[in-house]
Amino acid sequence: MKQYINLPARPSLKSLEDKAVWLSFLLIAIGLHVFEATLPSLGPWFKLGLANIMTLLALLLLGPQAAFFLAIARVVVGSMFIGTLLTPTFFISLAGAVMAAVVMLLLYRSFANISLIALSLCAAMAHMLGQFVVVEIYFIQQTALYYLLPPLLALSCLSGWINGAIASYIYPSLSEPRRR
Amino acid sequence: MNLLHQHQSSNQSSFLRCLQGSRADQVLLLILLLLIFGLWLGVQEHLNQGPPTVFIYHEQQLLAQYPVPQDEHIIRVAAVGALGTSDIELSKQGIRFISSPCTTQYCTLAGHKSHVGSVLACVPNHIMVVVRGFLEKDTQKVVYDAIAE
Repeated sequence: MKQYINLPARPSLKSLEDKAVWLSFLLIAIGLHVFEATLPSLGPWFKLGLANIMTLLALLLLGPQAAFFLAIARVVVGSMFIGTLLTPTFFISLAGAVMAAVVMLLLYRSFANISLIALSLCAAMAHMLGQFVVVEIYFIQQTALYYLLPPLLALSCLSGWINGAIASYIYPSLSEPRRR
Repeated sequence: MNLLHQHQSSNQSSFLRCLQGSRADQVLLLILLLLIFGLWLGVQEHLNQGPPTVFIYHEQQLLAQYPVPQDEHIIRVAAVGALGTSDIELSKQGIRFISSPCTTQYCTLAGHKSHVGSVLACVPNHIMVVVRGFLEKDTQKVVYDAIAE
């Protein structure tokens, strides 16, 4: 008598391809995260946010859930590489990335025709605000900290715009092969 | 060769088009910049009330406050934070962290800050130094046992 083993259903080619794309995005995002850590910065709170380009692309190509987990995973793994895991820098970075991802997802769901630059601009602002809120709540409970906010928000606008433009430039060449 | 050059220049122009953004993006940027400018004006108005004073905080506690030194007099303050002691210097050039027990050393690398509205912070050590105008409410009790001058 033949015995049949119940094997789990084979994942579809589409889901395997999505996982491969997500992993490659994660690797690029980690690379950008580590690269940014080596650049001279204007202060502990200002980073160019180049890795957000990958979150934006993941949002459009793979969906909101993949983008959200990509934002978290790149901060966790990236911090392991630069040696800041579980330090204040890590929590500040994580808060910024989560806030940026949440704002991106909400705007993406609320406005169907929103551009990548608009998404990136709002995400950059949310990133900066998220970092300040975490520093104010957990590290330095002083509202005077917000004196730094206006110039840093202005710089965030600039970096958000540039990141959005880079994402809009890359997006067509990535979405084209996936449509075929 | 010509084709490659053409391809490169078309790539450049399409990136510049992306960088320009749509009209809606430009309007959004303008609104955000106006909001930030308004916020900056509000902050400046708040900061410029009263004579410029240096405030040193550990979390919610005000450790020390000094008027910004106008002469060659140098004040050194040892502020005790979450990780250890941060040494802060107040002089005519401004305020600066001389040393701090944090690993990143962003605070010491920031150098001197002198203008009203300057904020220096050692986030891991939970120490913050601010230069702003002295207000009526700043006559609160200073916790002198956490510092050494």
